[in-house]
Amino acid sequence: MSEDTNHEQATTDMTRRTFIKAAAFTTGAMAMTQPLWSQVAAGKDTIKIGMVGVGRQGKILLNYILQIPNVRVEAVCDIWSYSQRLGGGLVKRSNNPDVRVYGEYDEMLAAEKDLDAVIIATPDFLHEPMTNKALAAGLHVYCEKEMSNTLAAAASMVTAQRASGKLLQIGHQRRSNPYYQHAYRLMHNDKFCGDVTVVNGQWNQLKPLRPLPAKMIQRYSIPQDVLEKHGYGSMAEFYDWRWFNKFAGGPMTDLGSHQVDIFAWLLDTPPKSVMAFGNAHHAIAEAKANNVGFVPECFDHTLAYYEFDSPAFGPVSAFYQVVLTSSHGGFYEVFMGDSGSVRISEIREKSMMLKEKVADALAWEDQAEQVTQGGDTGYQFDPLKSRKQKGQTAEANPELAEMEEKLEKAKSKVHLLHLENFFAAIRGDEKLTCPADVGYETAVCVLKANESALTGKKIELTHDDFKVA
Amino acid sequence: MAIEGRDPHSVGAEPPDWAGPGANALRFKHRAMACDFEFYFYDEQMNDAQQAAEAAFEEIDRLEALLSYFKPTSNVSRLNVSPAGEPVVFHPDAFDCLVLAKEISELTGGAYDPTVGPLLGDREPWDFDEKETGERWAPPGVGGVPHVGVALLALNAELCAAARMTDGVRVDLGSIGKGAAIDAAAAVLRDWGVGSAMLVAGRSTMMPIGLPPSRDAWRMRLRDPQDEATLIDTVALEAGAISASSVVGDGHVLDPRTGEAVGEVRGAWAVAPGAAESDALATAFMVLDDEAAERLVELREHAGAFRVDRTGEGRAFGAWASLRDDVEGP
Repeated sequence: MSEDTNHEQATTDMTRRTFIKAAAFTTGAMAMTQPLWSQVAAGKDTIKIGMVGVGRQGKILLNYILQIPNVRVEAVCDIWSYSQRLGGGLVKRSNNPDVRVYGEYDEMLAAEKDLDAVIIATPDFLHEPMTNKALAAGLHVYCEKEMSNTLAAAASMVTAQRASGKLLQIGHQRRSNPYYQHAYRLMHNDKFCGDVTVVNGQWNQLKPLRPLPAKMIQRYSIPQDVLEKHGYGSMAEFYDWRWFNKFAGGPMTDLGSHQVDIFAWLLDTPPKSVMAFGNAHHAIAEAKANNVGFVPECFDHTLAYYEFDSPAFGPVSAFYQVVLTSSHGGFYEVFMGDSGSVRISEIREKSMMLKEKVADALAWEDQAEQVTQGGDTGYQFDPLKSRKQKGQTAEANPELAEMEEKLEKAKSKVHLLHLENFFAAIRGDEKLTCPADVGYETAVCVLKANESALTGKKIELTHDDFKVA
Repeated sequence: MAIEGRDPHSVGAEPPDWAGPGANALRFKHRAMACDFEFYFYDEQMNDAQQAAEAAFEEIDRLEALLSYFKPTSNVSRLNVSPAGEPVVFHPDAFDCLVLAKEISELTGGAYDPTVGPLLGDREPWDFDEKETGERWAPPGVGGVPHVGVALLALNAELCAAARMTDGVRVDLGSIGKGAAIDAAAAVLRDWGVGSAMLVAGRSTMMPIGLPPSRDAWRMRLRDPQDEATLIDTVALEAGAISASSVVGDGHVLDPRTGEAVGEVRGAWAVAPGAAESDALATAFMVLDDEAAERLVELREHAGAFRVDRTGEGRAFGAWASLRDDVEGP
């Protein structure tokens, strides 16, 4: 199978290269500009990375990375032959036919002495050992959230990052999203919401439990000894790791973490308490009915109530729900104040601003585009609006043009900006938008919610709980 | 285009008969690239089929995000606004499409041309071969039109990058986008162990995986694009892909080489090992003369075509003759 595939790939590559070398350009009389290939050719500015974990999330990141200039994937690592073939194949067809493919992370670190960074997109429980080893090896790390499924491990990553002096970016990609950055300015600089008193957010996504895809798993099965070596009891545990407490934190870390992170960021403070509820009743019944071969441990839904004491707005109550048994309403966050409210989502069409009738007229109000969503009429959530009303244009202002480009990326490539921030930080051009200590704060928010839901007790939190000594 | 039995508005009403009588399929449908993508699985359990289809549909969406002429962040759009000479790094899947488009363009002397955009004015590329309004349009003035021709594109395979060699040239891979998406989806489905399936994009591109459960080939009946009651030809497809291109109503097709509308061919079907290639060939066959068409199929392994002119007369090229199915289907 793999030999055939390699052969096919080699043929494709050969065809492509042969064709391009054979193709003769006819320039005619038109002025032609020769391509400046050196701009994207490997050089001293090229960041060399290892891609660790090419599963569902890793594939998303890799597909973006392959479109970023001056980043070169030198190595791909995954214990699954399916992911190795997929990831390695993509990189070979891009700008590095010599990419090395590994099954063992330690072997990759030992052999690859010329890497600048690793991108880690493995199950949560592997984040700590993999990140800490990479940092100790002198590499910068982009690690998917959640930092870990335990706070002790997450804290260890912060400590390791400090000791290494290297960068550790956590994958809360909204932190690099200009729409969310705009929301911060809107609430704090422009006081659009007035005093924020209540926040809510949700991520509802129907996630049926289904048996493993039998044919696919048979074709790409992982030997049992390899599974066990890496902590998995079976192929089902490996494939559906998000349902197991020993690997993950359930929907509150898988999905909720992104949004509770926004709560704390836009309120400028971590919460002072959390009370949460949840269970896995539906998932357990569904798993049994559908004969999926395992009993789900993580919750299929969690509802959390947070209290904040925001330095900007005062006391704020926040409600959050993450539900895997219904897709109703999708995902968004709403910040409500006595002058207005802001609804934000990575789905742009869900974002809007509502001004209360009692609030003063806004300076740009007559130029703002009105939108109606679900019966509510408000303003389009547009970070460029306030600047455009000052008569600036993208053509005349490079900063605006750059913002426009970022906004377009944010509409469809939500992870790309976060990766670009990581690479820019490595070059010293930007600061990380989600460094380790920020990622740790969010890990506390969601793992404490899980703890509350398990114990049935409200948990009081202090600022010290969010800091690693 | 009319391939037998397909009506994008009534999917699920009547099972297509390309797999033979009594062949039951699991069907999945997904909207992307301004058309319906449909999968028909013949040997799958629902659980496997469903998960495989979802993975393949995600792949189609991924290809659309890379190839779209309209999404500002697609690889194609980034190239179209890049300063002349400045390289744009492409995803390898998008780059392969660009290479194929350039290759077919050069082999056809520009009869197929992914840079024909400036000749089309503001027409929407995705709609180009699916325009349903039937409205007639005239190409803009074309005397010595600049900015058209793949020679204005520089590709670098080692860097997986492309550059425009002059401002103004505009790339549109819409003519092969559906085929490229079908190719990518088929790769995923094969990976997932799907052994017998038919993949359809709109009414213009189809690609089988394996063979039907109880037949030695997929029997496709091709209908006159302007009169679907009229049977044009019947082929038995064992592998590869088939694509169609046609004019709508009294419309015309633009010859990128001259900028002039041509109307001699009213429908062309092409077969090739891959669907992106068959898409490109079908488009090219709308404007190539017979001699050039013969040369083209000679240069492309396993390629063939059939086309019908305004008078209803048909002519086969290359591998097409060997695909003809003498036995009328059920």
